[in-house]
This record gives sequence, C-alpha cells and structure tokens, in this order.
Amino acid sequence: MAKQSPPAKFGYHKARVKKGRKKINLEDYGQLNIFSENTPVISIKPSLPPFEEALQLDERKQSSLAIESYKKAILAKDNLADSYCNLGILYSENGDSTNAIDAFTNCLKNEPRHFEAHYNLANLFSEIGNLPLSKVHYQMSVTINPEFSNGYYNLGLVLALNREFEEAIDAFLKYKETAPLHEQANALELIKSLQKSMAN
Amino acid sequence: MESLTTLAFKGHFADLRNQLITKGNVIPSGNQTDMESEALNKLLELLIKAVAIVEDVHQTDATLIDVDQADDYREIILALNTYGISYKGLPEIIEMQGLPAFSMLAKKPMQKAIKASKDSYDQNRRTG
Repeated sequence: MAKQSPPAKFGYHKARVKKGRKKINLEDYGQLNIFSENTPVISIKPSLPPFEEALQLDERKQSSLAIESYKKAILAKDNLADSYCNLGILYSENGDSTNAIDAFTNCLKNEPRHFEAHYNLANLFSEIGNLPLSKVHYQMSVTINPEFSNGYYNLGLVLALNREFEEAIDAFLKYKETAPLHEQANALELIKSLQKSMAN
Repeated sequence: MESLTTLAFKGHFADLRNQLITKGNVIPSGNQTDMESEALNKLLELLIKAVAIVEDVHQTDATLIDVDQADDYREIILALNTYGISYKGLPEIIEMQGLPAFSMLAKKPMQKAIKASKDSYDQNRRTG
C-alpha cells in the first residue's frame, strides 16, 4: 500500500504581497496617496491629565512649573492626595516648611493612610528638629507599608538620635531585611556599632 | 590646667572663626530684618565659640569630654551646618565611644507619590 502523505494543516495564513504584482499609484485613480514616502508625519500630542503633566515637569526638575501644575491638579481633584504630597516635597525643597507641612497634612486629610505623606512629613519634622513627631510619622509609614525600606532606615536614625538604641536596632534590622543587597552592609555596620555602644 | 576662658581666647577661636565664616555665608537667605539677622549672627558666633571651647578642652585632655558633651558638640555642628556654615567638627569627638554620628548621617530622601501615574501606565500597557 502506498504511503499516505500527512494532511496539510489549516490555520492562520500570513498576508503577503504577491511577487511581481504591480504597485498601484492611487493618484492615477483620483485618490490622495497618503502612503507616499514624502507625506509628512504629523504627531498629535495628546493632552495629559493635570497630575501626569505635573509629574513630568517635576521629573524634569522644572520645579516652579511643576508646583503650578500640581495646584491645577488639586483644583481639578485629579489624584488629589498624590498631588498634595508631591507639592509638599517641592515646597520642602524650596525651604518653605510651612507650606510643605500644609500640603502633606492636606494629603493626609484626603487619604489618611498615604504612606509617602507620613514618611515625607516625618522627614520634614526631623529636619526642623521635632524628633518625637518625626518618629510617629515614620512609624505610621512603615505600619501602612511594611515593605518600605527607607522608612525603617530613617526611623532607625531618629530612634538612635533619641538614644532609643534597642528600638533603633530593630528598625535597622527591618531595613536590612527589606533593603536592596548593596545597602545591607551599611545597615549591618550601624547595627554593630549600636550593639557595641550598648555593651559599653 | 588652663581655664576654659583662657583656652577659648588663646587664638584658637579667631583661627576657627576665620576658617568657618566666609563673607556673606553666615546669614541664611530669607526675609529677616536687620535686627533678626544681627541676632542670628551673634548666636552663630556664640555657637562657633562653644565649638572652639569644646575642641580646646578635648585637645588639652580628651578624658574631660564625656559622651553627653560629645552629643552636645554634634548638635552644635549640626545647627551650624543648618545655617550654611559647613564645618565637619573633630571626628575624635563626633565618634566618641564608637557611636556613629547619627545626626551626620544622611536621611533617605523624600518619596514622591506616583501611584496614579503607575496605574495609568499599567492600564496603558494592558489596553495599549
């Protein structure tokens, strides 16, 4: 018996231009040839939502324009809490602690569990020397987001400055657990020096 | 041992002040009145003087400075740095008893909120 060849498979078929087929010039048929190589490409920039626009300006370090855009986002209620939070950072970078605190607390008014706002507020309180408030807000930030390594690091620093060494060691240990590999040696050094000073 | 006053005025203060104060560096920018600026200047000069005293005492006899005084010294240096006077202080005092100078360690920076942006990015990826 003759060997039967396997049946051809059915399935998707790629669209290909047949070889030798003449290319049609659309303009010969009274149509505008929009596929010509010389047709200019016009890019239409889509308008961004205010928060996205502010964020882009912020990332390009165009601080004053970013501040205005975040304010527009707040008026438009576009990502209200995040807009307040990032506005606070820009105020803080400009040395305007009062408006920065105002922005961070407005963020928390809208989203009380906004961990970035708690953390940024803690950074600001630490800068102006209010360690107890700083400690509470760092603790809040890591309670809300236990994976947030920077929160543990700064909490550790504040606790060490407050001479709460055991709690500082705990915070640095958690930092070590959550931090990237290259940061872990630094955490270990801090822990060792705290343990050494406690033993003295 | 010489008295603290003698130590403070034996020339070290003048040298240190010359090293620390560059013209126009002491007064931070802001909306201070002349009186406020003058008061701040005087306070900063007193702080510089305190730094000089602690350093002189330490150089005379290191055992005279205990951990609490070293803490005060660190705080003074930090306050000077806050007001634009960049001075690192004596490491022997700052790192007394092997304690790292936590006040000198840089904090991790502020954290931008980009959740919304991330969400829309993810959505674009899903639908794009």
